Amino acid sequence: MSSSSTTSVTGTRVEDCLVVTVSRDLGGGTLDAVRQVMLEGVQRDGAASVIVDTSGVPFMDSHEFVALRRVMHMAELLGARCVLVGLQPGIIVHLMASDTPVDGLRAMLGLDEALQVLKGHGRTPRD
Amino acid sequence: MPQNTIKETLDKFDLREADFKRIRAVAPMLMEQLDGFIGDFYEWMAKHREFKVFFGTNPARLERVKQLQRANWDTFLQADINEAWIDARRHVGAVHANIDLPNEIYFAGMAVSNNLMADRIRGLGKVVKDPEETVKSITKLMYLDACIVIDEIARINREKISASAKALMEMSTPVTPIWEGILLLPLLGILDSQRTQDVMNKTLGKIAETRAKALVLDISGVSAMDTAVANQLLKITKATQLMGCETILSGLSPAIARTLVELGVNIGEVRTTATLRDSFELALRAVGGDRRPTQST
Repeated sequence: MSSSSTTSVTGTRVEDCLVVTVSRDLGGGTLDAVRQVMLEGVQRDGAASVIVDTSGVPFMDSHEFVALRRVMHMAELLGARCVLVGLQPGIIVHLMASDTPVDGLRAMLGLDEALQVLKGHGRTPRD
Repeated sequence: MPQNTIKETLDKFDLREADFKRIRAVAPMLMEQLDGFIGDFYEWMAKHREFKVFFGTNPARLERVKQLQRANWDTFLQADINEAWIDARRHVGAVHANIDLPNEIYFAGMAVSNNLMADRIRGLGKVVKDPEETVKSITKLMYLDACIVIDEIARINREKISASAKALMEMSTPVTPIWEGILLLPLLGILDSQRTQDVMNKTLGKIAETRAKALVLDISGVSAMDTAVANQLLKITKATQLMGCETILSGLSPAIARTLVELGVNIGEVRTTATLRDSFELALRAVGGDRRPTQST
């Protein structure tokens, strides 16, 4: 298990899975940090899957959400399975109200569930 | 009611210290006649339908209420208007609200009491300095008394209404855990955007709380289906998927299926079944509750 961190984005390695924990809103360079931690973890350290934990993100608008999905898509292009966990109910309500497209996104409630799915015991609503 | 508002209220009813003095002066004499007064009151009451409703089957209750009325007139005639006096009137209101006493019989009763009281004051003769003024004072105080009682009855009824409105709101989205990891939400009536918002908030909260993996949305009770309603349902489905919870629509009637297809609504990857039973089976499979090892993709 190894870890690297910037101010508010932490990448933690659990076996061959990279857990990216975001602990503030995605503005002000946070998203760049997410991209850096995620892509480095996949490309250099060879993580097979990525879990993005946003349970510490209090607010997210639809632009930030779309940008985050783009970053996740980049990691998927590098061959890693990506799962988003810990989206706050309030954020989801906002995303639905603003008609943000969410199709094709793997999302789980918490880290436990996501790790189980990635280990092959269970599945997300998308699988 | 704080002291200054009591004073304000007394001003409104034109109740002055002189009134209270007059009432206090006749109070001991009236108290001596109280049993006869209460007897006359219930004799009047016995002529009316309400008497049967409230006392018909229970003579013990009549005795108790007579006792209460005795105490009530006792404090009334002391005419010492303070917190305690007002609280005592409020209590009378609360009791009346509890038994759903019609306002009609209450006001009629107060009018009769007023007349009985006035007759007795006039009957006291020379001992009373100014009987007509005393009767006026008593009438004013009685109006105040009735006002506080009715105010309390109205307040309690308002409370009942707001409580039941809240209960109705709660009941309109009963998200219930029916199995480990499975939530059931039967939807009834009309779905509009306001209602969907409420459903979504409740559902997402419940998913986070119970860590559910599947939500069975039973729409057999949804009265009308059109593009808007279908879109609202899709939104709920997508929202729950963002929390890792799969939504299964159940209770689609042939008519609804036909409407959806004819309207060209694309319900995408949402799983739908005709019966709740089928949905439950799918849900069990989703949470691995059928105790068979699930194949991962």
